[in-house]
Amino acid sequence: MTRPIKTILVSLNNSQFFENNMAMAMQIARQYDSHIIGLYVVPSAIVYAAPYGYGGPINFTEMNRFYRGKASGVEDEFNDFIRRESLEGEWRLVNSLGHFIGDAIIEHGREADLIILGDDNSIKTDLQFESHIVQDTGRPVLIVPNTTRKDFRFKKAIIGWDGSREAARAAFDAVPLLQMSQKTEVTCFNAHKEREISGDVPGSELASSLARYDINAEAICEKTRKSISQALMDRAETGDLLVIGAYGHSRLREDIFGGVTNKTLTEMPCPVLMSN
Amino acid sequence: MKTILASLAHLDRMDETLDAAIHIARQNDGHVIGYYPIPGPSIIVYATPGGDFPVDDSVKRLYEKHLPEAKEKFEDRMRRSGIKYEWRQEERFEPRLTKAILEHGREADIIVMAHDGPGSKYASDEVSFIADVVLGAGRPVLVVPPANGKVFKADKIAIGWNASRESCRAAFDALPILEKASDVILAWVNPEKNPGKAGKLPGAELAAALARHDVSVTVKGVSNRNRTSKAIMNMVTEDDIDLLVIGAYGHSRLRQQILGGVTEHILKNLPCPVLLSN
Repeated sequence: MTRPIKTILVSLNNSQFFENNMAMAMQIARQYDSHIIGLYVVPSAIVYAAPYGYGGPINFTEMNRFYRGKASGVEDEFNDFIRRESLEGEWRLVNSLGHFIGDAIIEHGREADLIILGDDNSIKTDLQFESHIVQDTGRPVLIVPNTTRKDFRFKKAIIGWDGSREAARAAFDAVPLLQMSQKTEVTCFNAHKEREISGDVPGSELASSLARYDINAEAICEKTRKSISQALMDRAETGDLLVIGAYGHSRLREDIFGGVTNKTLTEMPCPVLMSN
Repeated sequence: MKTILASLAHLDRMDETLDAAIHIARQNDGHVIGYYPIPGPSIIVYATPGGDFPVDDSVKRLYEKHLPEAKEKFEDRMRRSGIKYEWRQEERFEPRLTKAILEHGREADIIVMAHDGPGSKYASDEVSFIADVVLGAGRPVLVVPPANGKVFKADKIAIGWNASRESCRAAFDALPILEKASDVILAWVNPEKNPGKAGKLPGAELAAALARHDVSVTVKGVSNRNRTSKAIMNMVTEDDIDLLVIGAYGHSRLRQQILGGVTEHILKNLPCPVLLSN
């Protein structure tokens, strides 16, 4: 029995990520015969207040034209790609109400089975963007690193398991992707320190739940002296997909990720599926 | 939904819990785990001259007394229904069973638990127990009311929708059940109050997404001048709904989980089985 991914939303605002994001979307769409929505969000201008009134004149029409021009380039590329690979796709160009384009991605992502975002690990200040989307959509988000590697076949998937609510969300949201991978490891570090974990081998119940979906899953428990995030990163080097729950503390609209989540996003050894 | 954790912590409502669990397992060729936690003794803390703490283990003994009977009943019903099953009993240290159900439920596809509904002596205590499970599990939770002669079915399902994160979670978590339903209603209470989110055709996008999973949906706007929860409950009785799917809203106030108003009101009155997700 499969749990197919039928609608994939790909954020295409950053043209740098186009190739990798679409390659990932295509691979999943081939498997599940899914519908791909390419989303481009035109941000609105922000008017800054300054001591002498406002921050100078803004040419709204010029700005709008600039973004729409960029968008139509991406649109052509998207349509070409869809036609060339004979996929089923739909282009969406939307105006954002605020300067933060994430809100539009969240709104349109609510009707998708999976959201695909690109990530550039050279930009370390942009975590808020991803954290906000993961926390607020309630859908799984697949973050694709901006590497030169174009082949995204999942040979080995790694689930970071600590028995928490978020980890449970991510693990079950990942089922369709795990069904595509040959091998899945449910990895738990330093289980003796975790309060919320049960059983002799932590994660073994989860592994058998996944096995009922015909996923080749195995629970692995390790003790490590390194930090959990470092140990998980070292593990992920050997895998093709990392599945983790996204921890967040919302401090008055400013979503702050937990330590492991942050580290994962800044290093990104492989594509990461996050859920909250 | 392959792995169904039936929490048998509610001793009087075992039949209802198993009815629902068997129904879902049958739809998905699933595996039912009958989970029977035995709560630990509660320690009564007050100053005594001797300095020892009296221990109240009456609840623990009650659970131990019912154990063989419950196990036999579970295995008998499962064998007759021909579904794969597993009996899991566990002795806990703590008197409150939230953590026990969470630890095991997080590794299953869905948690099924029973609830007394209105008129019960412990209704508000039970609601806070369910709140802890729903908000902490990260899995969908099916809450089943007393059967009162009705058979559990999931043919006519209503989804309470308002384009929020929580209602989105609930709708997608319910997909395997929606796929088997004959009638799915996507209900939005007073969409005109939220024009920015609702758009011209409230719920149209979700309906399209569900249609790609071969679930055909009737979109329905429900108007009500009073409370949202009241409107949903009226719809359940008027349209004869078998199962209600709603997002569970919650706030965490220093480890104590508190439900949002609509969710709490529906749980307190429980007009039909409810699938909750957060």
